[in-house]
Amino acid sequence: MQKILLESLEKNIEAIEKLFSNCYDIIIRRIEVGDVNRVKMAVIYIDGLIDKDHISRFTVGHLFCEEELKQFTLKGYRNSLIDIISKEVIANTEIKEEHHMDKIVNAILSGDTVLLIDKVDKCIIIGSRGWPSRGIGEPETETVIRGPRDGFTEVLKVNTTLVRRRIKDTNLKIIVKQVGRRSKTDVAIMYMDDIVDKSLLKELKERLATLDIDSIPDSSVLESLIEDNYLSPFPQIESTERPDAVAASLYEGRVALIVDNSPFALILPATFGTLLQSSEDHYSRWAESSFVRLIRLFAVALTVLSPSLYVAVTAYHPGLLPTILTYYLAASRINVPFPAVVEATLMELTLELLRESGTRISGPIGTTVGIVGGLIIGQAAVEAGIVSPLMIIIVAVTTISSFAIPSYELGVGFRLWRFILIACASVLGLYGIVLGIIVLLTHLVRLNSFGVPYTSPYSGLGISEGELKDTLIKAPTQHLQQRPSFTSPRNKIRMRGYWKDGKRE
Amino acid sequence: MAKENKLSNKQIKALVVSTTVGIGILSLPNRLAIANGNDGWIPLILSGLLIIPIIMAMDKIFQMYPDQDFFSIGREVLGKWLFNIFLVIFFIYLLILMSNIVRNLGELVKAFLLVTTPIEVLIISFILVTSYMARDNIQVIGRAAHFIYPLILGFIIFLIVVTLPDIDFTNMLPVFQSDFSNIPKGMDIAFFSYIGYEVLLFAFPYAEKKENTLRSSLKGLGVVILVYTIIYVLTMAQFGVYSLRRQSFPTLSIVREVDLPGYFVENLDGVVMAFWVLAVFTTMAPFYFASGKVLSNLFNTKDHSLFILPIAPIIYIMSLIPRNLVHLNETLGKYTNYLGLVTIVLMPIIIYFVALFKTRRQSK
Repeated sequence: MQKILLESLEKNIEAIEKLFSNCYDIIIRRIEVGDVNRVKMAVIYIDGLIDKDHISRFTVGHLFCEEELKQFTLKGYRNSLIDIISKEVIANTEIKEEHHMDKIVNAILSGDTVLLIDKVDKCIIIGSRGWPSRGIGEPETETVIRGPRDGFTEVLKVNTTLVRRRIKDTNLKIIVKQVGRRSKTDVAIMYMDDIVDKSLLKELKERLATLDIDSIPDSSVLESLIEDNYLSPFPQIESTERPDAVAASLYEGRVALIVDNSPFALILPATFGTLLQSSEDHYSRWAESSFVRLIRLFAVALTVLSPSLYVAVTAYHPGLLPTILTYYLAASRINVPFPAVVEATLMELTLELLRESGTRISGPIGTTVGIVGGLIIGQAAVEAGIVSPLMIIIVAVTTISSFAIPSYELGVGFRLWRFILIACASVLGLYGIVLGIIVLLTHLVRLNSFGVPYTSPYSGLGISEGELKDTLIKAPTQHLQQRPSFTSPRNKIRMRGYWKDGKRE
Repeated sequence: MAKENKLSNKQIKALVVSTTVGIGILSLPNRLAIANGNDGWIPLILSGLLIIPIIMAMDKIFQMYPDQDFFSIGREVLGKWLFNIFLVIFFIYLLILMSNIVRNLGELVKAFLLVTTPIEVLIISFILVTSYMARDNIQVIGRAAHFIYPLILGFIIFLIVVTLPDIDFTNMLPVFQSDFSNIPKGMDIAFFSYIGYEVLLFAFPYAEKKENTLRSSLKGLGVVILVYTIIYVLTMAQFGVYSLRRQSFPTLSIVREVDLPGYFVENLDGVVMAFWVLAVFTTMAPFYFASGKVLSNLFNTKDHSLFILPIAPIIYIMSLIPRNLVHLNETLGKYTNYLGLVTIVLMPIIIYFVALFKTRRQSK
């Protein structure tokens, strides 16, 4: 294959045509420019990826109309024709010269337009990306009552812009790397240059550099490829649809990755504490946010424990409950032909099924799924005597609390552990549950996210710096004068004063 | 990525507390009441204070040889052979200690939670679960300890709150009336309830801020002394000395007495027992880790996780040797104390003095 551009236009076009053979979307437009001296040129682009109107008006149109080109003679031909064209003729703003074949092909594939000129061994690459895309909409997975409502789209540039609009600081750096041998997906690394921990950045770049894979279809694939422990059920990288969440985490000294074609940005490092935060926490009043954060921890405990506790208590330790409650429990289970384990597993599995089918199907069929599922779970199962009413309540509580966990992936991890704990409880009762919790705790404690202990600050690091103020609860903004320390930010102070500081003096 | 290799001082404090407070606390007031009657708190506090110089000696050792771990220091100070003999004793001590712990736990779980489950199942499942943690390094254990630490403190606070209504402090009286010649006997019991501070031998080299490590480890010890004393006082005030002598697990019994309005859990002792498994886990895990570490140093291998699983059956078999709880205390409990005296009391002190002697001579 031809490595660089030659002087002959025909040979160059031939080489490109050969590469793009059988690609129906490639457009090669030959033009001739100049009255005195006719120069052959070719405009090459991929149909659909570019803003056609823009190119035909400001590139091709200007080439045809520019007076100087018409008057152009052979004098000084070699040096300055390309200069004249790029500096005086083409009205597009993004322009660069290139002579490496692979870079040119890459540019064409990414939606740039290439202008080849006869007898010049360089071409002009005109930035003309413009493809149909979804507009900025409200994020569907992370809605807020109060707070900005714009969400990421599938286009990298739109996404970086949404973040840039929130950080008007030259310290916001955006480095774009291409990942994926074939898909050549653009991945933007965003960070605040004077806050971020440089070793974190180095580690991330090393991990990205080692990647050799066909394609990155979505940011979740990249996430699983660069995280510390890919076998763990818990995500070690946060993902969000919200530009304000990304901006906030950049201010905390974390790094964001935005992957082209994915409306989910990745934020790292992530800890158990950050995954239980929602961006709304920072927009509502501190008392409410603090309360909600405690509720979320409670939700985690409920979603993991409640069915297994039910199994343990009914099967092994009915004596733990007061006599009246024990009688009630026994009475409600009197018609149930299954042991508690089967009952719990059955109901939890049904609910998972219902959730899965509800997620995949929307619209009228989705409603049917909801009605059928609600009826089966709510009424028919109890009346048929397959499960006890108490079990229904427990299943409902578990499901509701699993949705109270802001990070969907974290919730999924806990959902899986719920089944493990049910199994533990069925074998060894409360003791089994505790053993299961120990294994879960050990697993969580062993996890790291880019060198940051996953369970920090609860597990000790950062507590002396008052990190719990913004994880366990959310203190008023006036008290959060320092950035969180788990990212070891180089610039530690986030807030220097508010109106009461002035009054005090 | 330096952070994952450090232990913060809070973690060291938590490590001391959660390693020390374990299975022993459930029966400690009973044993002390038998030995010293109303004055059981005197040996409790005295022997706690006795630990302070040992911890200080440990800290001094690591100050004399900064950036070295316990094993390389020991080998340098005592010489390879002598230190290896100490290590073998240390290893046997840890094995017996762990079998003691798991057997005690098994008996308790059987008594309070799972009456019909064979004790072998309870023991082996606990050992296996702990081995997962023991395969990792001390930093991870420190993190787990920090998780459990508030639980232990929370339990104590809970205990104080719920027992206060029907507590009778006159049960504590008369003080200073028991025979003072019995104090050493009480010390014998109390001192070994502080077993667990030897985890500092492994924790010190990884401390984040070395200058504060001693202080936080002593703080941890202080918390342990406080916890023990509170438990002792509470159980004594609740039951009185004669009743306390007949309760083999007074700390659990005291929970059983609790009856507050709004409770929907009746027999809290079972629930507390279940939670206490977590506390025992953080006691067991560092010892398990330490035994693997000692073995890997004896065999000169880098990775201690290789040895963790092979140790499991040894602990299991040893823990099943005693016939019952009384026999357990007479055999494994006794050996733990004797070997503990050699390894966690004598060894650090000997290393300290020899190291002091050596460095003095070098500087001359």
